[in-house]
Amino acid sequence: MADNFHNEPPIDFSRRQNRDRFKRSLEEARGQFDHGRRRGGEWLESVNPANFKEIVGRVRNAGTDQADAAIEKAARFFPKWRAAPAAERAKILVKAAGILREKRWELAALEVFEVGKGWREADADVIEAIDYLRYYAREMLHLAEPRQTQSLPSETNVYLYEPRGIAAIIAPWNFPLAILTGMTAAALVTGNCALMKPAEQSPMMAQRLLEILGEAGLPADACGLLHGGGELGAHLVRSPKIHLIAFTGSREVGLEILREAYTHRPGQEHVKRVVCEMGGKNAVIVDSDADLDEAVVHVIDSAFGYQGQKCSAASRLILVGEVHERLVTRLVEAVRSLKIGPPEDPRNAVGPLIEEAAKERVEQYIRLGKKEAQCVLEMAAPKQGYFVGPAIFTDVDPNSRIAQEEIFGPVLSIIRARDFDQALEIADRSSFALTGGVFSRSPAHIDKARKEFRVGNLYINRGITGAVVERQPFGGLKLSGIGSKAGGPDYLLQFLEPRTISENTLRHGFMPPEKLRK
Amino acid sequence: MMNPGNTNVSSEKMTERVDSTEQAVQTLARSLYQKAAQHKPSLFEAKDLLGRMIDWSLEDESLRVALFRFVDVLPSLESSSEIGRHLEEYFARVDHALGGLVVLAQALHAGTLVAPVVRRNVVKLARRFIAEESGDHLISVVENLRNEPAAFTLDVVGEATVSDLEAAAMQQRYLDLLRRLVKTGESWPPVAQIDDSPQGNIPRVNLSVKLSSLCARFDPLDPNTEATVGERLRGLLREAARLQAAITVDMEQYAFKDLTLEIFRAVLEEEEFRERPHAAIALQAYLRDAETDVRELIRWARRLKRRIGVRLVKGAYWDSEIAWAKQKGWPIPVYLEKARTDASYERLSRLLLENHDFIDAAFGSHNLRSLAHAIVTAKMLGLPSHGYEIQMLYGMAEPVRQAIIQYGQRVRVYLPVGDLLPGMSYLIRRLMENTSNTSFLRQTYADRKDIASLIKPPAPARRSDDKVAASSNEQAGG
Repeated sequence: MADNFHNEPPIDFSRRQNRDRFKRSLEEARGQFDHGRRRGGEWLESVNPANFKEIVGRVRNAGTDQADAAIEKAARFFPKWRAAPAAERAKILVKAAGILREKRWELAALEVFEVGKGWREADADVIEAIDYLRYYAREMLHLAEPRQTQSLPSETNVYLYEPRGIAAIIAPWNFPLAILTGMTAAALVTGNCALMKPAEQSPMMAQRLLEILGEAGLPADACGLLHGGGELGAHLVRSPKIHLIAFTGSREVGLEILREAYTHRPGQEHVKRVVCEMGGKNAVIVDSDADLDEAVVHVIDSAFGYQGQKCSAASRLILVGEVHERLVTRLVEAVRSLKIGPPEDPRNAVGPLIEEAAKERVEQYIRLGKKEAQCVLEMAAPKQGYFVGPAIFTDVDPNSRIAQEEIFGPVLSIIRARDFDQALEIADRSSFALTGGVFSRSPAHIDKARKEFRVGNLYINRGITGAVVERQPFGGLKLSGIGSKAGGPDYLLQFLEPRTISENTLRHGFMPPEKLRK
Repeated sequence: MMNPGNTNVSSEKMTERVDSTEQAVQTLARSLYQKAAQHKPSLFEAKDLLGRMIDWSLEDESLRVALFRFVDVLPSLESSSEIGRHLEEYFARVDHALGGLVVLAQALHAGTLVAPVVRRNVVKLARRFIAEESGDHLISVVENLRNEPAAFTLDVVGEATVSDLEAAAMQQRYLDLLRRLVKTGESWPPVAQIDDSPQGNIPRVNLSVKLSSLCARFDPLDPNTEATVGERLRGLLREAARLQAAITVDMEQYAFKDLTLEIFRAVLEEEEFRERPHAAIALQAYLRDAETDVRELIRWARRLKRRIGVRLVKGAYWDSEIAWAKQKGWPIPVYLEKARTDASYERLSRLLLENHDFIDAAFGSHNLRSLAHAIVTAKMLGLPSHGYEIQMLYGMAEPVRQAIIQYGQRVRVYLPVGDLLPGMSYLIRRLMENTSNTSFLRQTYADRKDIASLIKPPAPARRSDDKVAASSNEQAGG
């Protein structure tokens, strides 16, 4: 059942019937928008960032009382859930994957509106969620088998994994389905109870996920959903009854979570475990012998795909030697050819930023960039949503702020390097180390990058975003994160605690035959 | 396909006819082969760098990879020491006693041999496959071809188009070439074998166009692609109509196919282009969709009552198509088995020829068996030899071309033009194609396979080819 893992294929948009179907799904999704009156403080509104007059939906915010009640409920249910066979839990995940697959069109369409993603990117998020469900289901089946450590005639020694308890899942809006699903599925399939706290900007996707998990047969008490902002998240993190926090988001919040989570509080009988993925300031090196036809296209996708709002996005482009002269004009002209506008219209390659604050932050960085470096591209953007046109800077000092701080927007800093060694050195000059890329046709340079370009995910002669579950387990080093990689073989271990059980089987010289020793 | 309602008698007749056709195909293929086999194509005979490269790459797979990768990177290398470093890096790891090359690399590295020599050699090599756009080279190549006599179609090679600016420049390049060639061509004496068809004179200047070169990013999802490319294509067609030149739309990767066909049809349906210019499109027999597409195109031409050219090729993106499909988890769009592609080619040849009242068929192949099949089929259908044409690539299979020209057919040479170095990716594709062990040219001239096996009818062995492509990740053979 869950044993055969394969990645869910993306929608092939070269087929007209698929384009038509997606368009219909968008219309249907829009038909379900909330046209009611705004209803005050306890309601959380999901706004279409490409047109802030449209309310995609609204949900109720949870207060701390509700959060505590949800924790209590999960705590009561936990022993039961822990005792459920792993195969049963895995089966629920696989079932949920099937339901997600059936609903992939409507989910992707909703995502286009809720977070301003293009069609392909929205579909990619949905299939990644499907992949996590299936992959973690399969991985758990392997982990669930207790292992004999050594086989002795007088003793059994068993090594096994157990869940930790209650997991708080604090998820971002930029992959509103995939990351939330991945972290939640990992917690649940390993036997933990989960409390999801999705980003305020993408509550509707979380709402849909909860429904689907229920439909797949997940007991209601195993997984709760709490909507709210930073305070709600902080409350969960501080709760002495939470055992594990799975977080993906900004470095600032991540470090705060680590500090709070490791502070012991009255009534807390355990040390919390934090699984933490934080941002990136990812560099792509283009060597002097690179294939520029390839480099231009992949750099654009990596830097400006989803407006650069990915922790894996390229934000530093390091050009070796005179490749600068050959590449910059082509790159700038290629980006200038991109259309900016609502992503529901597939002619727009650049959509909106997620919210007003993001727009202001990015615009601020663009202003700063003009002081620190040379602005070679700035594009006008529509006013009706949170749009900011792509910006490219050249002659960027590798130590300047636009080359060091995570901007999380469509801004690319181009840095010159004398040679490949210097390019590697510049790439490494960051406290982040999530993804990185190299375009080169020199076998020696590629080898060197493999050894010395020390980032969590290194991509050679391809784009640096879009890691695929199992194929490219994903996660960063340095201040980009702790814990092991999502979609990889070690991920579930973080949600588990190992136990060792030894039994003396020798009683006055009498031993059961080997096959009865367990 | 046989009609299941046929009686025994008529299906016997059918078998007889198939047998006699097959016999004629074999006879023609054999006689063409005997002519062609007397000379080696320059590709396999060259005593210079090209010849050595081809020899090495036939010998050893790892060397072949190193060699092609080196040629691929070469245009971007600016200095001797860079060329030397890459030579060393690529060939040091090849498991092959390549004394000469290692010495060459070391010499380059030490600076005792200058890189321009290597570059010059590769440029020379490229010139066999690509005509230089600037200067007189292009005109002399074209005029030599017409003397053979062979017609030509130009293919502009260069960097990929990634911006609107580059797309506009590309369109301008196409227009300039059209005008230049048409003007030069005014002085060319007419040659009946290549300039006539049953419908009268055909354009002497024929331009092949890749639609992806006409926009910043050819993306079927982006409705802007259709609008932008359509507009630039209109510009080309308009000029071609005015100059009495012909436009052929090339076919690229599978992901572009549907949209390429749609744009081609949509623009030609417009009133302005209902009669002129001569327009053709390439279709690839290795695609599982090929027959559907050919039938649809024929239906469309009939409905429109407009003559359309179809260049039937086998397809040049085979490895890439398989790689891309596997990456995405999509069904593999091409036949995995070479014989199935060959069989598809013959089936589609017949289909195109049967519809000669609306279709100008062009058969792009170097495979004598495939070409003989098309020629014999045309004859059986009562088509005159100038009712269709044979197309071949410049720089390849010259003896095959000569044999076919001598047989009296109209041959058109697909001639890439452009800067030699940026044209390298084209060169790589051609080298890959012709040194792959399923290549007809390789089997004929390098492997010296016996004639009977080269011209036997394609017999696909693996019945489950379709299933394999749809469902499994098994390594594709062929």
